[in-house]
Amino acid sequence: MRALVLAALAASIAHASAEEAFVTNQLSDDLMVVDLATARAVATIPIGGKPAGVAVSADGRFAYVTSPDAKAVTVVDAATRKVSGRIEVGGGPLGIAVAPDGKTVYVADWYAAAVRVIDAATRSVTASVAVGASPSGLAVTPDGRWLLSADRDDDSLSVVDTATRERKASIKVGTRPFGVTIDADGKRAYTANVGSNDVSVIDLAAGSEIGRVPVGMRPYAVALAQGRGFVTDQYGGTVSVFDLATLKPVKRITVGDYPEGIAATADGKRIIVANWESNTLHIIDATELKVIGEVKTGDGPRAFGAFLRRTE
Amino acid sequence: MRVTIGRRTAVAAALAAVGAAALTAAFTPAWAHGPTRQKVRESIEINADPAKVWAAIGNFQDMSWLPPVTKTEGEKGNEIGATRRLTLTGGATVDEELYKFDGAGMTYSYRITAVDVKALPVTNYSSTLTVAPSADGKGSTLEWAGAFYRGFPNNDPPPELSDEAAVKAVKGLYQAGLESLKKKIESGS
Repeated sequence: MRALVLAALAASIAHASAEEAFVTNQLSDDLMVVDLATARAVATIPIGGKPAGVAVSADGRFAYVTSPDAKAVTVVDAATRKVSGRIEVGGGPLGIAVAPDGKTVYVADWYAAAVRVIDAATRSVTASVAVGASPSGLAVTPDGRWLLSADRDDDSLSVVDTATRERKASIKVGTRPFGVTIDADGKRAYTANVGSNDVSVIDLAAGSEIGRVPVGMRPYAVALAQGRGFVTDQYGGTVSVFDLATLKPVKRITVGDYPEGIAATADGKRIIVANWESNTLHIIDATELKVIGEVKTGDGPRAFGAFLRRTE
Repeated sequence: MRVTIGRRTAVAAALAAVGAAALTAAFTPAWAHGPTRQKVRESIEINADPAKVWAAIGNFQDMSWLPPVTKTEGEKGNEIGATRRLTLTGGATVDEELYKFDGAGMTYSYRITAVDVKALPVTNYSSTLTVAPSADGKGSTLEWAGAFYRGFPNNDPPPELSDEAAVKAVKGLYQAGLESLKKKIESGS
């Protein structure tokens, strides 16, 4: 009996420990690694330059971190927790995304209407793509064909062909879109609209907005799991939950103050939220829709981007 | 070799062009902001019942307890979405809007909708005031927490509109405000 319980415990830990959070603590200038199974910080890596955006490659090898004040991207070896490179990109690097094959990294320049294209192998900027004003969140479709850029001050979403590195379309969304998230099928995208306090639902094949979901005040980013959308409401101090099929609000979960970065674990069972003001990471059960864990972070966690890493 | 040089030049030219465009586009007053949000959290112990402290600060339409404020004019009382215009010594004004109010919890949050960065070097400012019983249970703790970006929305700010200048200004304002309120309440005036 006892052996059985132990085995079950070990199994559940082993299962859940397959993922880590890479959290940018902007005000303490570092990147912390949190083991999600034990809800413990396991490493803190100094970055500098007020790190904000983060993107972990799909193979889990690297975490790419933007530092707007240093005008650079730091490459972190995710397994050894060591800085393995630094790429000078200029401007104000903020949003960041890695192509599914890991070969290309895209960085939004907050001050210029442009996305810089980085070759992951040579770690250098190889091209620049013109997009709308104040590009913020970036995301790449699962097939790697399209890059989406939430152009905050143009109230639109740019669709960039990753082969030609040219903008193919600009889709009107709500006011001041910040984070953008693409679903697993690559069919829909969701933008969190800071200015209109809602989420735009975009049909990528049609190239148009097909719905708008009211959420809490000053939404930051969107995560998807269990047929639902989860949205961090910065001023609301909540995570707004809505149904992806009906686009109707389901619930608002109270989290810490100024929740920002949000992501779903690969199994869809947990939602991880960085609370910028409270200096905490909250773990939400995506089915029960309640907070089940809390981890202390450094100062000002933002975790803007795909900040979770699968370790097996 | 010539191809490589040509391509590099083109990329550099494109980078320069978007950089120039951004300089003009970035100055959209109410929304544009720097890359790093700042936080300030100050608190003070006041030798008075929490209800008494709340009575002094709980009316969104009266910010006379803050030293530089000479006049508060507004609409909709303490309702969510209530607005007020503060007039400061010297004539500058600050427009604010209430977005959270919890009378039972003795806390509210508001944001600045318009301010000249010469009066307060911040953008996208929001703040929360909270009254709680002090740790020893004998008095109150009043906390003032703010979240904001620096006054300069673009890269490489001048010193007077930097992150440091924003934090210094807000910290100074909060400390002066809390000290003044403590004196006012404890002296019974």
